[in-house]
Amino acid sequence: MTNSAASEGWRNVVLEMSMSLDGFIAGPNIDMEQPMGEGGERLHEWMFSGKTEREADVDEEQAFKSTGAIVMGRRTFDLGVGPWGENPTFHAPCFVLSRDAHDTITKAGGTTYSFVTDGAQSAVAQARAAAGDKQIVVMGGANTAQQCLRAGLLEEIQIHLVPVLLGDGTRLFDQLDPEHIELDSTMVSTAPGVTHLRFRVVK
Amino acid sequence: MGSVRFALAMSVDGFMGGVGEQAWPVHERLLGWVHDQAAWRERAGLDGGLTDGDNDVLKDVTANVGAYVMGRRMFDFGEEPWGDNPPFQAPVFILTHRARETVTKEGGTAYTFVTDGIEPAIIRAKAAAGEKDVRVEGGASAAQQALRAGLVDEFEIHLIPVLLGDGVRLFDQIGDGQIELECTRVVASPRLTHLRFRVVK
Repeated sequence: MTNSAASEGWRNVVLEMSMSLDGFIAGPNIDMEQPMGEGGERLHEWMFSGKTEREADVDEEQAFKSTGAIVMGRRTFDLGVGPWGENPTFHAPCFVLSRDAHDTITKAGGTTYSFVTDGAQSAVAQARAAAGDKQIVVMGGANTAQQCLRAGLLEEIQIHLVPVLLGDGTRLFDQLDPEHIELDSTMVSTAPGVTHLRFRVVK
Repeated sequence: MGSVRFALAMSVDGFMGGVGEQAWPVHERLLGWVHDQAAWRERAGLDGGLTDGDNDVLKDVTANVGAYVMGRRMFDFGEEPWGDNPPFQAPVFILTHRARETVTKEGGTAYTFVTDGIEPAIIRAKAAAGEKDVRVEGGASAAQQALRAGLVDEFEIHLIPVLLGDGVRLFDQIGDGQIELECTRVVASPRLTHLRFRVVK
């Protein structure tokens, strides 16, 4: 991989999450009725700011165009598979970290869900193989993000920082090793209701 | 009347200080940038220093302060190094359980010890500050108490690009319920990102 390819984000493994200023990616008491926990939908409001739901979907599809494959945790899958529907906006193979094996699920529009039972390293390797020249997005949950971070699998972290203090919920940066992980800020931009922060993980 | 504000450096994973042996290394990592700025160096009687974006923010957050509120631990740590002519040059209200007579220093600093909690401390600080702002100087506990009591108008986070893994969490103990904010300014430098927030009341 050349330096320019890396700097353009091709084939990079990117953790991408919406996070409150106090570090939560969901509110407390997550369940099927409240997949983002109590008050957690607040963290996704920026995606709909000034848009209709259709427009927000179109923007989300656009955002996923540079994504070749996705890694997610089993709980994220269980909570999301219903709402994401029959033609999910991913249009890419998704690799679900799961303790239990499951047959691959094929949806319309190019989205597939494959279940990886032998750990984060394997899921990321399979995602890389499937992603071609595009980036690999780790979209959560916190557990999956922490596993990838601890295993040194992340090249970039993209935080959509939401101006709210939730006080409680699922913390993104938890269970990390006490060694400092240095980051390099590569992009900062603002939009209504959100600040986008992009970091390269310094190795 | 001025605003009640604080400005603290924080890692991306939410820590504003280290614990035990990590206290000094984390302090260096989060606040090292301050010591390189011309504004800080001038106050400390040193030459030189950087004069771009980070320095402008530093000047901003330290300007127009009429009174300070701080926690007792920070005071205990700093009383001796701050010496006879402390850098505050304004009334400082210290949150403590132990009553103590006011101590007047040179250059306008006076240490007043407040034993009945954050709200009286802020009220007294506001009265002393007049038209100027009240700055909650730290540590985490003082800022948390002020936030919990709904007494903070705005704050600045100097976001340092590092994951520390452990330490003193800034946004802890801030009460039940969400606190809505509005991001009013973002200043990005190669070294860190400054995020200013207004507390929505």
